[in-house]
Amino acid sequence: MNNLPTISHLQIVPDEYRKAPNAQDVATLIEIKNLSLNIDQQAIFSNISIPIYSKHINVLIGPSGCGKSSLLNAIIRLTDFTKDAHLQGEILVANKNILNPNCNLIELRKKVAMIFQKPTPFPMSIYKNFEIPLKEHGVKNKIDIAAKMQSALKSVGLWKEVKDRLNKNALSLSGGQQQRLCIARALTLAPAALLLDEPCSALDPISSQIIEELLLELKQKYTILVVTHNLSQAKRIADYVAFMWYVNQCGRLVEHNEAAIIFNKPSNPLTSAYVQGVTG
Amino acid sequence: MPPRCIDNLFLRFIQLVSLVSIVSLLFIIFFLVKESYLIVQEKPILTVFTDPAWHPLDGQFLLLPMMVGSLLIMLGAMLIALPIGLLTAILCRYYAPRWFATIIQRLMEVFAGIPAVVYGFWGVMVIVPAIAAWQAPGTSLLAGILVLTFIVTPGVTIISYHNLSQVNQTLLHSAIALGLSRYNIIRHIIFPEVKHGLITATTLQSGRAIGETLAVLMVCGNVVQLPGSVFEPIRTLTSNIALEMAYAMDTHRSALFLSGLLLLLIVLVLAFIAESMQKPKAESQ
Amino acid sequence: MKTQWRLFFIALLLVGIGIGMGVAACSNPSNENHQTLSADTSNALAGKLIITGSSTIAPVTTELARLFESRFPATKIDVQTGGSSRGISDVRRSIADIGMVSRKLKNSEQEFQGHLFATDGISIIVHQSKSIENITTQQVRDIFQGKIRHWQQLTGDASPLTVIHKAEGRSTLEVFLNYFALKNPQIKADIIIGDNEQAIKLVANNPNAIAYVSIGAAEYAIMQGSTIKLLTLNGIVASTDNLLHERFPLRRELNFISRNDNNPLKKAFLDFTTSIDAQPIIKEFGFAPTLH
Ligand SMILES: Nc1ncnc2c1ncn2[C@@H]1O[C@H](COP(=O)(O)OP(=O)(O)OP(=O)(O)O)[C@@H](O)[C@H]1O
Ligand SMILES: [Mg+2]
Repeated sequence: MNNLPTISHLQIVPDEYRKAPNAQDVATLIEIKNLSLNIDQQAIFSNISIPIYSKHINVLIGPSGCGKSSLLNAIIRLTDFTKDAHLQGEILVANKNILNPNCNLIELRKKVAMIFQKPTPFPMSIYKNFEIPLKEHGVKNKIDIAAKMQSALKSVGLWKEVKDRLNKNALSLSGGQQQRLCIARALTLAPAALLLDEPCSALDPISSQIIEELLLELKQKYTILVVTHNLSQAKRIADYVAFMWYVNQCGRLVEHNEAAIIFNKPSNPLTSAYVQGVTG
Repeated sequence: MPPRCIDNLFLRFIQLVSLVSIVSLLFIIFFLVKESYLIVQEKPILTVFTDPAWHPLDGQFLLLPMMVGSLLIMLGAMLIALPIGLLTAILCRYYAPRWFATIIQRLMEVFAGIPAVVYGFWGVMVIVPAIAAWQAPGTSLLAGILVLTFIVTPGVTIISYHNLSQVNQTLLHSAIALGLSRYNIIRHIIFPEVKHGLITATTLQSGRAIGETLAVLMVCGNVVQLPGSVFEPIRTLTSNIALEMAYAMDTHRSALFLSGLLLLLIVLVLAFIAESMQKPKAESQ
Repeated sequence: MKTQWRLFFIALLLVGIGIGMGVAACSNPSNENHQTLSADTSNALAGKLIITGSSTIAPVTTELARLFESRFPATKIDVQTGGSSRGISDVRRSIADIGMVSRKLKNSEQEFQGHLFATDGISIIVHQSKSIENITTQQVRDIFQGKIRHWQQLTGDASPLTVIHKAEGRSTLEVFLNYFALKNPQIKADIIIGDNEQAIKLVANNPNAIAYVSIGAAEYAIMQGSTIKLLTLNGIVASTDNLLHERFPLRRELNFISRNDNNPLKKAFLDFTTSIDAQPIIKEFGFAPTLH
């Protein structure tokens, strides 16, 4: 970390939206184009353009405070709940701009699920954790609810561990189990994309490994965007990486490309310093 | 002075303060018991339920209608104030635009600070004539309930709002991220989180409601009777004390102290009920 | 557990403090052993007076005593209640220097020196808008016993009567019941209140109400613009003036009684209660001060 180039040397890539050279044919589910966020007149990030490739693991890295979580929040419009937050630019989800004022937010959040850094099971029984969102989205039948819950819990490898305690409070599970429960809960709504904000940072290495393996499996069916500080984890799971940095307190995109290129021969010296500084 | 020493002193100070509050509480109870002893000595305690009427100067000490009156206006006021306060808080916290929420919040703070007697005057000037135009004489159980509602609603709103602000933000965000509607978020996520805070609010405000004296005395009519409808006048235990203590002597005076003791007992029972409602959470965690 | 106890105690304390304050404000001073009077005759006024008796007179006496004590800092005046009869017996047994008696002295009490310092008169009041000026003894008896429930029977107005009565133990209540030869359990009231002001406020805001209050308090309220009016009783105008000249019947005397002796402090205090300085205080309590 010692010999990072100073900000004045920074050559940040052009702001316009473009795909990675070797991924021109890969489909994108989400396209972030020239996106800026201001909170109370203060720029949090500006001019971010990133393609999120379908059925791949897209990883977002960058120092603390550069706006990664804010970017994820923007994709499902959680920023609406922050006082005086203003988004500019475009976020296309399946070719529709979700910043459009008449965008159906419930539909958006059904299509794009989000998992938070701290596991967030509802403080009630495991079963209820599934019942409430399913009922909200029209699954009223108990048998259907149970079936959907079971298949989701199986796909995160939690079914065996919890099948005898479905009526126990979800908070009684371990941290890793809670995080998988949250992923399963999100999966029951059949989303197209999963956004995960540092999903392993509150977990022990073994739980982290289970989640990593889970993500690698889930990318067969889902588009995944993960924020992580753990670069070795990023190396293990990423297909594409976007690297953010901040200039004058404001988050900027430095580089985005295939994972192999970002980790082995990035075009920006700042990227290479960051990637090596942390790994080396 | 070494920090440990300061810490110690502070601890002693806190212990002293809590001791003082407990002792003064016991002192008040002792005082009430002592002063009501005279009446208990002369008549069996159950006469407060069985005497034909409240004519203390003629040796009749029926307190039952006043106990009922106290409980009725408290329950009535809380039944109205709780939903209004909670809904106002929810409206301000989750639905209303910021400027509107701020105005309501400031207003509630102002209303909470107005002395109860002002509400009493307002009740005499506005509520009582309004009810009288509909059902004479106006001074009634209903007037008492309405005035008390105005007295306790700001407190309920403020405490509810405060509780809502303390709901875990990530939990809330994850509920939003699951595409839950506001109604379901409030019902399934927020309400369970704030329930215990609401019980606290209810207990405190109920204590205030049942202890409220002057405002109630001004609008309730104070006729000692079991009300046949909300339009009939009632007398509360507190009003009874305030109305008659100044000129009461001997057994009359002692019976008034007994009213106070009964009030204390009612509040004790309410506090125990509130406490037992809180318990399940304490055990589950 | 901790928070619940704290909550519990807060609730308890709130009520406890409320009751405690109410009681403290209302309770009578306790019985003290009487100390012999030691008036310093040679110099300015000094010493202690004990006054006991009528609870109607006690509040105004306390207020008068406070002003008197501030004029003569070496004096101490102790006022205790317990009813007119206690005032008489205390003076008879020399336990008190002055007795407060809220009625005319009986023949058997001529051994004492009476000092009539004020008169308490009671008037029937209604709202200004009512087309009624006079009321008879029989009408009042009927109204307060629930035999007349409607203005129809008095003025022809099509509205129900709201009868306002006083709480047990109040002095006006006693005089009222005595004069109209009623017993409290016979009364059928719609509203029961404590003090005159409250009755006045209710009548001012309720055109259908009828109440009885101290004449002094009613006159004061009308001066302040209150929308009430005093009814003549059997044709006699209820006014402080008629009270002073003993023309208005629904009244009672407020007396101080004492033994015939030459205690200068006692004499100074009694004179003070009928001086110009005492009048505003007496009027404040709704009584008509005696002019000497
Ligand atoms: N509600 C808010 N109000 C004001 N500023 C905010 C708010 N939320 C975030 N910020 C600011 O936005 C910037 C980016 O925050 P964000 O949480 O997105 O960073 P991050 O990259 O996720 O950091 P970390 O890696 O530590 O999670 C920070 O400077 C933060 O202080
Ligand atoms: Mg973050």
